Amino acid sequence: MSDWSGYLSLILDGAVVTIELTVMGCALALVAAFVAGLGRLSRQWPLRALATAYIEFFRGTSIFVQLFWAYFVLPLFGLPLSPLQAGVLALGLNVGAYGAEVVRGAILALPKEQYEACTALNLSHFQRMRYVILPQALVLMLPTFGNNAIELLKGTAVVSLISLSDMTFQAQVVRAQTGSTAMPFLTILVLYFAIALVLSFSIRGLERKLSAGLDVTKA
Amino acid sequence: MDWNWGFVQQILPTLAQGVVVTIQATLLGSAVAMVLGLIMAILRRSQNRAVSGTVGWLLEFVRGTPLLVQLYFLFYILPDLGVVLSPLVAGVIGLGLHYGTYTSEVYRAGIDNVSRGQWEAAKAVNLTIRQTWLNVILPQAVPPMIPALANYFLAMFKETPLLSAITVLELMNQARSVANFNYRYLEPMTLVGVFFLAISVPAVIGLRYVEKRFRGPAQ
Amino acid sequence: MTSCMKGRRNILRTIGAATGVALGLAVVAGVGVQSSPAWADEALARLKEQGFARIAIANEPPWTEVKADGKVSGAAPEVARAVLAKLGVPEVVASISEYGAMIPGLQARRFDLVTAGLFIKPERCAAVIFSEPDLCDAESFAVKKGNPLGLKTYGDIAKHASAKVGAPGGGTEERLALEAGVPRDRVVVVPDAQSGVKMLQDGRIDVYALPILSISDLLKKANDSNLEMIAPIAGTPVYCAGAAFNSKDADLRDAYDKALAELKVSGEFAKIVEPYGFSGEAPNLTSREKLCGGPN
Repeated sequence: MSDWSGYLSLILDGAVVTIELTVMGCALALVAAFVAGLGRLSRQWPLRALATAYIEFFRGTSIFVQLFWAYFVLPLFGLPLSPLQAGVLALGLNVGAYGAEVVRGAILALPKEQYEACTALNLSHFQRMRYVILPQALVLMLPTFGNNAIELLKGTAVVSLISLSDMTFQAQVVRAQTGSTAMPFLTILVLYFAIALVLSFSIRGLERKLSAGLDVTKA
Repeated sequence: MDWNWGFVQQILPTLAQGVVVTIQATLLGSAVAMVLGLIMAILRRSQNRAVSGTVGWLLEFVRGTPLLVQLYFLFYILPDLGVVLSPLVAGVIGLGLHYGTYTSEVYRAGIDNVSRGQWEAAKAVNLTIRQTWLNVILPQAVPPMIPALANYFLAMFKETPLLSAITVLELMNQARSVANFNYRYLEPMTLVGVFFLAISVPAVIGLRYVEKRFRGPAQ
Repeated sequence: MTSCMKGRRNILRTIGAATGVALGLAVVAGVGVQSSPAWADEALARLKEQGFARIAIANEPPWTEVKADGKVSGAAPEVARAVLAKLGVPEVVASISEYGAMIPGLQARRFDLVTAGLFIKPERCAAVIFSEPDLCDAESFAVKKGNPLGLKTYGDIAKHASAKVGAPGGGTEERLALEAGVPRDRVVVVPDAQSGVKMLQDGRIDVYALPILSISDLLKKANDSNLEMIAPIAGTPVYCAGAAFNSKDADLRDAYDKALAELKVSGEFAKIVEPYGFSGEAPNLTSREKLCGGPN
C-alpha cells in the first residue's frame, strides 16, 4: 500500500484528463445544441433538414461507435485526429444532438403571451431574445442540460478504449502495475460520482441564480 | 478512401453473428432493467427511511458513474468474491442495473402521477398492499410510461457496443476483430454505424407513434 | 405566431447556421493544418526538424512497457530510441494501440513508426514496410498448473470441444488460433496482460497465448503458483519483429536499417536488448526478405 500514493497520482492525472474532456465536450455540445436546436425551429426547410439530420444521426448511434469512427475512419478521409480531438468531437457532437432537442423544447415551451407582450412593448428581435425569451428558456433548459453534462461525463470513460489517458485508462494502468483490480476501479467509481455531484450542484446553483426574478416554480 | 465491396461481402456473415448477440443482450438487458427498475422504484417509496435512503443513494451512484466501469467491476471483480459470470450474463446484469436506475425514475414519475385519491380509495375498500399495487396503481401508472421506457430500450440497444470491452462477441466486437485481422477499419466501422442507424431511425419514428398512442388522460 | 416572431427567428437561425458553418470550417481547417500527409519523401527530414518521432506501442512487457510514472520503456522502444538518436531525432512520443490498429494507424499517419514488437509476416509486409528484424521470440501458452486440458498446440485447442484461448486483438496468436481452426467465439480478445492473467485465473480462458518472453514476464509479475508456461508450441515458427513504417517512408526505413546495423555491429544493440531477455544474435540469423517472403 506504500506505493499507493504514486498510483493515486496516476489516477488523479487521469481525472484531470476526464475533467478536461468533460469541459471541452460540454462547450462543443452547448454550441452544437444551440445551433441545431435553433436550426430545427427554422422556417427554411434546408436548415431544418440539416439540423434534423445531424440530430437523428448522432442520436442514432452510441458515443462508442461515433468515437471509433472518428478515431479510425476519419483519418482515411484525410482528417487524422488525436485521441483527445476525436474524444471531444464525438462527445460534444453526440451530447449536442440531445441538447438540441432540449433547446428546441424549451423555446417552444414558452407561453405565447411572452411573445405577444414583446410585440406590444415594441421590442426589437434581438431585444426580445436577449431580455425575454432566452433568460426564461435557459432556466427551462438547465435541468436537462445538467443531466446531459453527466451523460457526457460518463461517456468520457469510453475514450479509454482508444488509449486516451483518462481516469478509466489510468485505472487499467494501475491495475497492471499493482495486480489489484478492485482498488483502482473502486477509486475511480467514487471519483466519477464526486465529479457528477459537483456538476449537479453547480447546475442547480446556476438554475437558482438564473431564475431569480422570474415567475417560475423554483427547483 | 477506397471502399471495398468484396471485403464487405466477406465480413457480413461474421458481423451478422454479432448482431444476433447484440439483440440478445438488448432484450435480456431490457427485461432486467424493467423488473429491477420497478423494484427499486417501489423500494424508494418505502416508509422505512433506512431502505429508501440506501436505495436512493445506490440509485444515484449507479446512475452517476460510467456503465463501462460498472461492467469492468462485474466482469473482473466479482470473481474475486467467488461469482464468475459469463461475459454475456455480466453484460446483461450491468446493462439491466444501469438502465434500471433510469427506468426506476420513469416508474417513480408514473406512480407519483396516480392521484392520491386512488390510494385512499383502495384503503377505504380494504385492499391489501399487494392488491392495491397490482390492481389499482400499476395499471394506471404504467401505460403513460411506456414511451419513456421504450426510449430507454432504444438507448440500451445503442449502448451494447460497450459489452465488447468485457469480451462479449456482439456486433462492435466482431467488427473490431475483423478490422484487426484484415488491417482495414473503414468498412467494419462504417457498417456498424449504418446498422445502428438503420435500426434507430425507424425506431424513433415508431416511438413517436407509441407516444401519441399512449399519451395518458392527464396530458 | 406573429410575423414579428418569425422574423426574429429567421435572423437567429441564419446567424446560428452561419456560426455553425464557420465553426465547422474552423475545426476542419484547424485539424487539417495539423494533418497534411504530403511528407512522403522527406520523412526523416521532417522528424529531424520536429525533434521527435511518434511511435506506436502496445504495453506488453518486455517488448513495450509503460511504467507507473508514464515513462515508456521495453526492448522495442529502447532500440528505436537508440536508432533514432543516431539519426538525429532525440525524442519519441509513444501512443498505446492494439496490434491490429497499428497498421491502419501507420497508413493513416497517426504515427511515424511502429516499435511494438510487431512480427514481420508476409501479409503485414503487403501493407507496410519493415526494418530489418530486431527482436525474435517463439510462441508459448500460459495455462493452469498441470495443464489440465492438455493443450500443447493450437490444434489441440481447436480439437477440444470448449477450450478458450485468449490473445491480443490483431496479434499473431489470434491469427494462429483462427487459422488452426479454433472457432471465433473461442478466441477471446484480451485487452491487456493484466486482464489476461485474471481471465486465466478465473477460468474465463483456458490458455493465454503470447510470445515466451511476454508470458515469462507475466507469470513472474502475477506470482501465482497455479499458473505455468508451456513452450515451445509445436507448429509455430520463431517470429522476428521489426520497426514498421508507412509504405511511402522508404527513406526513413533505409536510414533506420543503416543505423540499426551499426548498432548491432558495435555491440550496443545486444547491450540494449539482452537485459530484457532477448538474444542479440537471433535477429541476425534471418532477414526481412526471408520473413516477408520477398522484397519489402
